[in-house]
Amino acid sequence: MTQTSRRFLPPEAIARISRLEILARNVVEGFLSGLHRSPYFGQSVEFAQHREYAPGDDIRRIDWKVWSKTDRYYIKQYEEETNLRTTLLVDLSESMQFGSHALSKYEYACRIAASLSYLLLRQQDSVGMITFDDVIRSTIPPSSKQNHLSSILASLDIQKPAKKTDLQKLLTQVADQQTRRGLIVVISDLFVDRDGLFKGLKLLRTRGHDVMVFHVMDDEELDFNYAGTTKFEGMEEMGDLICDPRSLRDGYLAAVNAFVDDVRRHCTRQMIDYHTIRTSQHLDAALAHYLTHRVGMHQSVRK
Amino acid sequence: MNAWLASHFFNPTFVAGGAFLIASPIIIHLINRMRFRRVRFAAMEFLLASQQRNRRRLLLEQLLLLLLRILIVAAIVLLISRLILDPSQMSIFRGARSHHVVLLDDSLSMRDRWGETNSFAEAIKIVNRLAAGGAEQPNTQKLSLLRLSRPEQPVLSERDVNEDFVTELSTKLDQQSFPCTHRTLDLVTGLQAARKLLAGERGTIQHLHVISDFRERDWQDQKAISAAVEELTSAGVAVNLVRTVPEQHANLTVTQLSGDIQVAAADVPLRLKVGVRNSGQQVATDVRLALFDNDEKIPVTVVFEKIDPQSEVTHEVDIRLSTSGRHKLRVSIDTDSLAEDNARFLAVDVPKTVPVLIIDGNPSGDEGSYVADALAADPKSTGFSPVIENIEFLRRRPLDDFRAVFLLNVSEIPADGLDALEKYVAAGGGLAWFVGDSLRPTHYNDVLYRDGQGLFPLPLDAAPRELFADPTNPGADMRVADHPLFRVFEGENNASLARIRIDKYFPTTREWNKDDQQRKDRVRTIASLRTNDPLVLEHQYGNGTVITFLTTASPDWNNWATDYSYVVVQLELIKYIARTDRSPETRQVGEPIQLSLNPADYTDNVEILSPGSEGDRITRLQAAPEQQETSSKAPLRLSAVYRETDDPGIYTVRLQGQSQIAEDRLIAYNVAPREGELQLAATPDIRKRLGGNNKVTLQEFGQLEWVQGKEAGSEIRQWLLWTLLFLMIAEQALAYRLSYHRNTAASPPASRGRRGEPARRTTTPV
Repeated sequence: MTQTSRRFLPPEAIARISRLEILARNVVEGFLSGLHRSPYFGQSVEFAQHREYAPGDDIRRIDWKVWSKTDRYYIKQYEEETNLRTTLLVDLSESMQFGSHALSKYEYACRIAASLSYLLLRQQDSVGMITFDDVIRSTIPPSSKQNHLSSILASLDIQKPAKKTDLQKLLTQVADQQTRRGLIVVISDLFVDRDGLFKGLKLLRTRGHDVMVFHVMDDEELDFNYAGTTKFEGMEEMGDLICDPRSLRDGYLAAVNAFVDDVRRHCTRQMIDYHTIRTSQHLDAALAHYLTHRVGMHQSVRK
Repeated sequence: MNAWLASHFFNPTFVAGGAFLIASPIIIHLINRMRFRRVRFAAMEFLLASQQRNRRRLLLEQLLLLLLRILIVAAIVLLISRLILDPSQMSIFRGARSHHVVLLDDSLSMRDRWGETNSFAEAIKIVNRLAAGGAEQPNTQKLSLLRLSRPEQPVLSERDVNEDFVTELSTKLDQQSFPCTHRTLDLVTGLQAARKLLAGERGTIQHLHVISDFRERDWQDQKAISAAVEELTSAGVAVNLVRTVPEQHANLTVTQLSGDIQVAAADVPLRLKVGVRNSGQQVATDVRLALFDNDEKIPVTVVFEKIDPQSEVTHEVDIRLSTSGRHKLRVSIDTDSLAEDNARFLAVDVPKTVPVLIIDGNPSGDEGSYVADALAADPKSTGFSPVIENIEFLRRRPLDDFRAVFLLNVSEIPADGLDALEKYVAAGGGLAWFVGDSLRPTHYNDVLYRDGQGLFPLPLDAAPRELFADPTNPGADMRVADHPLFRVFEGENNASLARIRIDKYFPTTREWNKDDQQRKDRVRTIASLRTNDPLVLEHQYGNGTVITFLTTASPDWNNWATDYSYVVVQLELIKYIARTDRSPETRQVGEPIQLSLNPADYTDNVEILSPGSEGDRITRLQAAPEQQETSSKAPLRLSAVYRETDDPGIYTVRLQGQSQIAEDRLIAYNVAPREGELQLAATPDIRKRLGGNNKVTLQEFGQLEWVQGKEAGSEIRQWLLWTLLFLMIAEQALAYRLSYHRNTAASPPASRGRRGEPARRTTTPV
């Protein structure tokens, strides 16, 4: 493996997740492994229905047997077995730079993205990735090629988080671009305008996408165990504050928990898989927790 | 500011440092604000929200905590620098330059002894302590020492207090060289002298320390004392009364040793009156008095079985001085706490006989014999030697040697005889008039009465008057006043007065007012007739006493001379009028011996023999000519003054006559009996008497903290300690409440994943 891949896909993580299988919900039907049923019609072995010919249709699909009997052109349609088309949205804003441990939130997000990509590519699903801050920084189109992983990893590696996040704008863009329904995985600290976030997520759900949110948070952001007079220099132009953090801890935790609860409540309402991940957690544990949770959701959201 | 600090803090230098310490919590807070850690933080939104919500509460809590810490530091600073709210409690040596005037009571009662010490020794100790206390801040304090016995002459005047001074003072105040007097002294003069001493001073803090035993009797003139103290305090002087006696001690005082020494004669009984006062609080029993004559014990002992507290008993005792000459009598009791008042002295100059001149104006010459018989029926038993002479004797012979002169029925006195007689009486001689038939009223009125200026007390009517029996008035003819002369008629003997019948008397003129109260002159009626006419009169002429009987000495006009009371009255009369200036004097200690000598009789060498424990001390004086106006034609006299009469006892003044014959004069000096009244004035009473003057402090015996001020501010110290404790507890409680504590018992937040568990689950194939 390259150095980049070692950075975001540590061998021990690969070893652990190689045993896992990603299971999409029944909404997404893949054709490659047969495990995923696709909502789309295309070339396939399994007949689905006839449809009257319209100009512009591929004449190769005209069912001549029907024409001979009815003297009308009908097109033969087959159920298409699709790949799980997954798009990873990785937040590259400045706030993702924060990290009290060895890993910053950004690095942790990258690892999540890499691990999921690897997992999905292994089972022949196609994976695409969009990195963003206030605008889309890079776009890797979905592909199921095995060497696609390296381009994803390379794309992650060159990103330097520096700017603010505008998630609503991004999600709107993604919703417009992703005409085919699939799984959209948002990996972010969600330090954005909350209304915009909720609107964006709702839009994705409205367009029929299956949405997962990995809310990456640092331990200090969740526990706030600072002590002693500290000058907090806000990222994303949030200003500075000199204070005794212990005195503000209770209020801070209340605010954070309210925020997390708010997001979770909203995601639950929108049938979005939401999961808070601490950067101190092991990656595999997080993924396993997620997958277990995911498999438990059997309800189809087919539109 | 410095003065204020000095007057409110025991250690004012700590206050400035302490003020910086008070700033320390603020400084620490500011330093902590400057020494912060920098953290780049993402979730600022929530932090700012928390800060926004808690800002006011945090500010208040932090300020409260800061205030508590400042208060703790302030309380510690106040404790260390010894805050004193009441500056009067401050040690007297704190603060600016001060002048301490010590007024030391050295009256007799300061010799009150208990244990190994006495009141005066305690007083000296206090003075030494005071100086030692002042020497801790060398040369900032001045000290003056006044003795109550000589307040106008300071022992020490405005001396700088330092170590050398303390050494000098302790040497100087040695009990041998700096003794306590035997005198009665007035606190007021001492206070006034101190006021005078301090009056001219400006710019210093003035203290007056009155070191005394503060007896109850000292405060009898409380108005004068409180006025003097008020004057001092209003002049800004801090008056400090320091008591040197812990409690009242039992004490007996010999208050009296007296007798009719003017009529004492050799080998004739001399009646002495002795008195003892018990000024203690317990009954004194079996008090024995010993009498000494020239230091030899007289075999007579007076015993008082019981003397009640605060009461005085007297007793009369007859002694017989067998030899003529000078006798030094002493009466003493056993030693008690105040030994000096346990003895009393009396000097007696005992002649062989007491000469009395009787001038008999009756040509028949038998009147004098009545008086002479009354005075000396047996010369050995009374000691009188009456001489009966006619009126010419007054002109021819000097009268000075006679103790008294009787003029009986004298018709008139020649001018030169009268002059001699007037001089004699004016000098102190006694005179007794008896009227009679021979008397010429016009001479008496014009020459002897002289409108109240002469030897005769009243103007006489033209002729004697008979006193007829009055059946309506059965009482006695004579009515006597309460007078020593008529002591014989007191009590049961009053009946004998009724036996005396007055047939004839010389009345006064109608114009003369018989009422002593209305007349208001020198004459006092001591016996009168039932008609209210005066019968016996007394008046003073110069230093002499004149007694006038307006009836005869013989039984011509009355029957008195045939009654036994006549003898008694005559003997009392001679005692009463006998000249006392020839007898040795009795004085109070401290009175100077002032001599005025005629250089014609005496040389200028005078020796004073003063009493002492190791025998008499001889002091030689040189009498100097008296300063007198040049225009004065009075003859030159030599004068000498001897002032060292502080010790009680009998002093002998030895004069050298021009004829080289030494003449001794005795003077008995006694202590004032009231000094033996050792009852202490209670502190609340003193305060009350001083009118609640709160600028006066009172120190009880044994309280010496005021010298160091050690106990000053103890109550505020207690209060500060409790406050400090409370502040510390409050600070800890608040700090604990405001500080961060990791709750180890609580489970970690639910969002935190537990390692391993999810992994186990995921091993199960889905």
